[in-house]
Amino acid sequence: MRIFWLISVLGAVLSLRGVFANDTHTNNWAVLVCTSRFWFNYRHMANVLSMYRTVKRLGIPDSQIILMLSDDVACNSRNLFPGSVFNNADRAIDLYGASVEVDYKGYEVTVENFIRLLTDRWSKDQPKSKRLLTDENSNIFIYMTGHGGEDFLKFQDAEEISSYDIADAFAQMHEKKRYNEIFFMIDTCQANTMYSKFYSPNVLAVGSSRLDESSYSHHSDVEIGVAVIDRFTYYTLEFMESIEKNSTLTLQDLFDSYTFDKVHSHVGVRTDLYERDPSKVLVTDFFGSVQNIVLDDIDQADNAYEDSQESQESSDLPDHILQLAIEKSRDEVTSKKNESKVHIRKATLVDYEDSIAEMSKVSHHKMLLEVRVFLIFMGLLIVYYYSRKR
Amino acid sequence: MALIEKLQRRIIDLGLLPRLIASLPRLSLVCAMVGICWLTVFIPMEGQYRRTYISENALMPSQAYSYFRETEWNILRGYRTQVQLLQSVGPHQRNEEISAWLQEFGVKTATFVNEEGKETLYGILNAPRGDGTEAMVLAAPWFNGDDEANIGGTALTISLARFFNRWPVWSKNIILVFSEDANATLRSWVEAYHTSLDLTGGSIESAVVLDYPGANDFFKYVEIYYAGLNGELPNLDMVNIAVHITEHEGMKVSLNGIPEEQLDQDDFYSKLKTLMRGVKFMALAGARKVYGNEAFSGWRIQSITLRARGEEGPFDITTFGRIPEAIFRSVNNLLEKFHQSFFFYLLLAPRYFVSIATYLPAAIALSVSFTLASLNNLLNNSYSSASLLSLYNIWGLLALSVALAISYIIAQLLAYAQHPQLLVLSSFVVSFIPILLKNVKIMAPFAYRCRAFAYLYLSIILTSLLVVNFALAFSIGTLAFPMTLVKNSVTSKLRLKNCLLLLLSNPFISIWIFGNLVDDQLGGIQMFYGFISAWKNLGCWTWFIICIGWLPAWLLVAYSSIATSSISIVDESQIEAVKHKKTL
Amino acid sequence: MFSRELQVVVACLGSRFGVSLVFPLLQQQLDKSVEFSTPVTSYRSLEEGVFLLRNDFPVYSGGVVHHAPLLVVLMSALGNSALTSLLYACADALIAYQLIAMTRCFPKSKIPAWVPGALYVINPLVLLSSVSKSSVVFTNLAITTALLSAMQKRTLVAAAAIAMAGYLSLYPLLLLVPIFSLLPQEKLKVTFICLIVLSGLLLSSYKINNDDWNYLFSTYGVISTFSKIIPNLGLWWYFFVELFEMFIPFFKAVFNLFVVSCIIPFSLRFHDQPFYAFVLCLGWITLTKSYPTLGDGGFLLSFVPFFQPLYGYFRYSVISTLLFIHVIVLSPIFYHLWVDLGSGNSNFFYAISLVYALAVSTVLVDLVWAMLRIEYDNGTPNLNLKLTSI
Repeated sequence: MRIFWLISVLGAVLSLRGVFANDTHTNNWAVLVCTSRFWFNYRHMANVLSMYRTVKRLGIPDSQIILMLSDDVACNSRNLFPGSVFNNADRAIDLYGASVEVDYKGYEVTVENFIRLLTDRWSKDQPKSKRLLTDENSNIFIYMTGHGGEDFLKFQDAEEISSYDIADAFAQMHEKKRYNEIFFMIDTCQANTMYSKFYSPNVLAVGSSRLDESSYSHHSDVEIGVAVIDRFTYYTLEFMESIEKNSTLTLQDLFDSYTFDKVHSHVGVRTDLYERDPSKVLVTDFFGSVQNIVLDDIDQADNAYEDSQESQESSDLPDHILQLAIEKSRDEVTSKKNESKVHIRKATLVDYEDSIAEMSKVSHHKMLLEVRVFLIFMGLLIVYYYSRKR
Repeated sequence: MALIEKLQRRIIDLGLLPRLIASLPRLSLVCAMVGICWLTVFIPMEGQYRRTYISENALMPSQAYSYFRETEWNILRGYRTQVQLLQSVGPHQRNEEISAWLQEFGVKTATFVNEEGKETLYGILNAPRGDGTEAMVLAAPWFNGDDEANIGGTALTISLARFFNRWPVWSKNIILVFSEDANATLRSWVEAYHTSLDLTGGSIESAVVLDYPGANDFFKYVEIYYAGLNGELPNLDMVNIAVHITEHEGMKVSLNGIPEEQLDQDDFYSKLKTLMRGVKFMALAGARKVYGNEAFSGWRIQSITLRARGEEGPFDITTFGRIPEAIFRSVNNLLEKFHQSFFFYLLLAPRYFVSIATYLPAAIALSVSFTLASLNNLLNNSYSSASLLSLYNIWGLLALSVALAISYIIAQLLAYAQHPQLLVLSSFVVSFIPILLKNVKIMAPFAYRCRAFAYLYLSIILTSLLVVNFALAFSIGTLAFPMTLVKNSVTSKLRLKNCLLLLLSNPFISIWIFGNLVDDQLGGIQMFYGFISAWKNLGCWTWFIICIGWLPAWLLVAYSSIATSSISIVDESQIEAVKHKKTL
Repeated sequence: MFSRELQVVVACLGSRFGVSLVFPLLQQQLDKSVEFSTPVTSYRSLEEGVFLLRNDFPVYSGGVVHHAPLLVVLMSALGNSALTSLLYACADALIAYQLIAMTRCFPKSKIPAWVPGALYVINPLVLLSSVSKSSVVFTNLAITTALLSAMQKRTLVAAAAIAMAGYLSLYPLLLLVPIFSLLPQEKLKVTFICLIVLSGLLLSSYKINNDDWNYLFSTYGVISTFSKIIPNLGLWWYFFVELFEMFIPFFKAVFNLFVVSCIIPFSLRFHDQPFYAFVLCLGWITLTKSYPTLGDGGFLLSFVPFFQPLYGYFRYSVISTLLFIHVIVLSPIFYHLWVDLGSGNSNFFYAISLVYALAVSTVLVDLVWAMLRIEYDNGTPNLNLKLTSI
């Protein structure tokens, strides 16, 4: 009996492992927010536009980037180079080129809009281009910059967002299955406090400075007369320039590239909510876009699952029991194939390509499968417990 | 609450209250001393002042590179030669010439003629990409405050305008002003701009007045003047960016006319000197030579004057030109009016200041000392128990009103009939009233009441001036203080002492002495002419405050010093009352 | 030949009328100043109402006029400005006369009858308030009429006058409570008459206002809901600058409650000295009303001479005098510093209005203390007995 109990627990745990970490995301989104306005915050605008350029270069399409700029420095009358925004005094790259799509501009960048964007709670008339249409397979890169302090970030000089607000927004996103993983990067003063209150799983966060520490600007352009980039973002970009779409550099490499000598503040990384090891996560998992989409039908997927499961189990008896359970659930799945339409989530009303839709169906099936296996094992456990009682 | 009760009980037990009342004259003297020492001894000490800092982050002084350099020198020289030629021509023709030059590079010009027929030429450079609702002023009067021809300044303004015109970075319009002098003409232009002129460029944010007399290419150091009329000061950020930019370009800054040899000193005495000169300049603003920034007071414009001093030196005129250029680039960055930094401050050095919280106690102590003197005259004599509606009080109030009326008449008379010598002479004569009118008798209680009202009145005047015009409040408080020591002329020694005190505290004699001692420009009668012309031309209130605030109090005190009956501080009945209170 | 009292009344009339004739610009200057004119009492808005009425425009839909309709009609009936100056001067003279008459109602009083009237004449605050043609003078007239009639046991007139005072500005209606103590047997009759008169006034205003009830909000609504947040010498306008939106109704309710709070306690406690209770309630309303002026303070001070037996017990007379003087001197200066020069800010001005509140409350506290002491001494002043250390 004891062995039976042990096996069922082991089986339950092992089967649940699959429910949480799904290393295969299928789409990438980026939310880039600049929260400060006025001419002397030129560098925040340049920060965000630099990140925008980076994620675009690495493959995320405009339709999956939400760019929020609270002020227009390119056309500011104080700009010596009208229509251009530079992030370096050498003025080699004009960030404000021909193909910049700003989704939220000027006074539209508010705390309310940001939270609505994350949680997707809009009225019916909100255009699709301004919504974050993610699902449970989306990896989201969220970048925020501006003036901040302990547990708050200033929006537009008039309001603030607190770290609790962002944490709660992420929790809502998790409940609504709106993300697979989130990579949160923030470049403000006392930035690390902003991620200290997160409590949702699969969130990886990096901030530019600790509590009671300021983040510094890197250098000024003496012609324009303002600072053009912040240190943290500057060194992030320096790292990113070496990344191509097929790069195998990991996030840990990125984190290792930040040193106190360079950034002049203590960069903090929060990994406790994140399942995977950053040294095994490709940078392009967040900064690039998923390239290889394999079109698949359900049978192949199940076989792949079975194979992977078989290769990982070591002992025979639990293996045998698992096999039984899988066969049972597969029968159920095949019998319900015709009702697949029901499993498409209501929220994903976007025109996905059919293959991706298939993939989502498949993953959904897989999830249901695993949940059923888990339930079976729990049932066994309960039966065992009550039998002991009697 | 229990603590207050305990405190009260202790105070009563120690019999503190009667003792306090008995020692009121001493307390008043101590307060006045504390007030004076606060400003002169306490504040310049290490640790009491702060280092200046730029409060408004948007300003970013000297972050942009200044390009007004050698490339512009020849153009500047060209304009300067032409301006020198124009010296011999009349104002109207001169303005037309310059107007033509300005219009060549796109400046819209107009001329304003004020009531006295003096012309002011001004031009507006519209910001090509800005919204044109705000403006910065660059002014160069033809004859500066010292009545020297401002050749360099004018040429610099014109070439700076031409230089600015080629830059697209302006978000505010730039207004150039060429007035006849830095005094009434400039002030009348500012007033007209805000009321009646047709060609305007939006609300003025800041004004820089350039003063570079002579045709020399080189100069030694820069003087910055910031004291405005009626105690108004520009926002500290404006002064700070001017100092920061000047020192960034390498030049030395002198505040409040400190001579060049003393610029490098950084000890207690240099700070005290700068501080007291600053207080003097603020109190005498308008009466002294006007350098141009005073003209912009009262319209929410932050204005400073930059003066290049010295005939030879390491810096050339284009270096001087970079200061207004960088100031303009800095102010250009602003979106809001200056509001972050202090409006009430005192500068101890180009980089050290104190804010109002630190220096205000000086004037408060002086005001309190006058109140204490007033209470002394109310309580410390045998007539303190007179009822509120007694005849003495009413007569005292009436006397105050009479004194007020007389002072008002004197103020207006002198504003029109300008014979200050007569005034000083008559004040001299009146100060000797205690001796002259030896045989006239007035009643003692009346004398006490008069004095009480006089001191109370002066205390209220000082309180009202405290924040608005600290320097004037402090000066009047200090100079009028001897008045509080006047007592009834019982003996002839006291009589003489009263005369001396009255002499010292008379407004006009006191100012006359002060002017002779402290200021080289305003020696003697010049001070009065200065005040009166400041009132008429510039709208400066100092003359009226002296006449209507200080003079009535002095007249009342002078009148009361005739009284000859004895001063009895503690009366028999009062001793009884005190004993009675103690037993309870 | 002419008795002192008649001299006083004539002096009052003459001084007010004379000042308004000799200094014609003074009225406009005072009307613009914040200490003597508020949106609900200023002469400019009254003139505006007269103009609108004469030209058949709706008077109360513009948001400028906040005076009672009957007052507007009265003003429109008078033609030129000399007559209106005479009207205001007469109102003031009538108040002075009523003060004299009130003194005569106290046969044991040691002060001659003409003294309160004379003090009213030379009171600078009341003089300036009258010259500025602020409409509080009519409210004050109604209040003194009510008080005098109540003391002379003329129920009808008292009730009607209180109704009139309440009709003109809202808060004096609360003075009905001390009137009850003055006319103890006829409370019901007083209420009844007051209600009838008040409804009569309101109905006639309704008729005059072209059968429209909108004047109710413009007059009483503005006073009780602080609709016009303009700086004044009151305590409450400053709060509205700082409050969050959601708390505003709560605070409005609290401020109104504050005005009502002490009326009943004062009347109950000093039931045996109803005149004194009336003055205390008047003082309380002056302290806590929404749009006070210096004229209100002056009017309160003109009642202080009546309490001659209490003089010996006053402890803070010097302090309150100094406070009043400082308020009168500093409040225009700080307002000028704030609004005209831009060097000061609203805190300067609010500090002075707090000092004014302190001055009025010092007077009230002194009065209460003195009355309590004289009660303790059973009506015979015993100045040598010190109950507390001061």
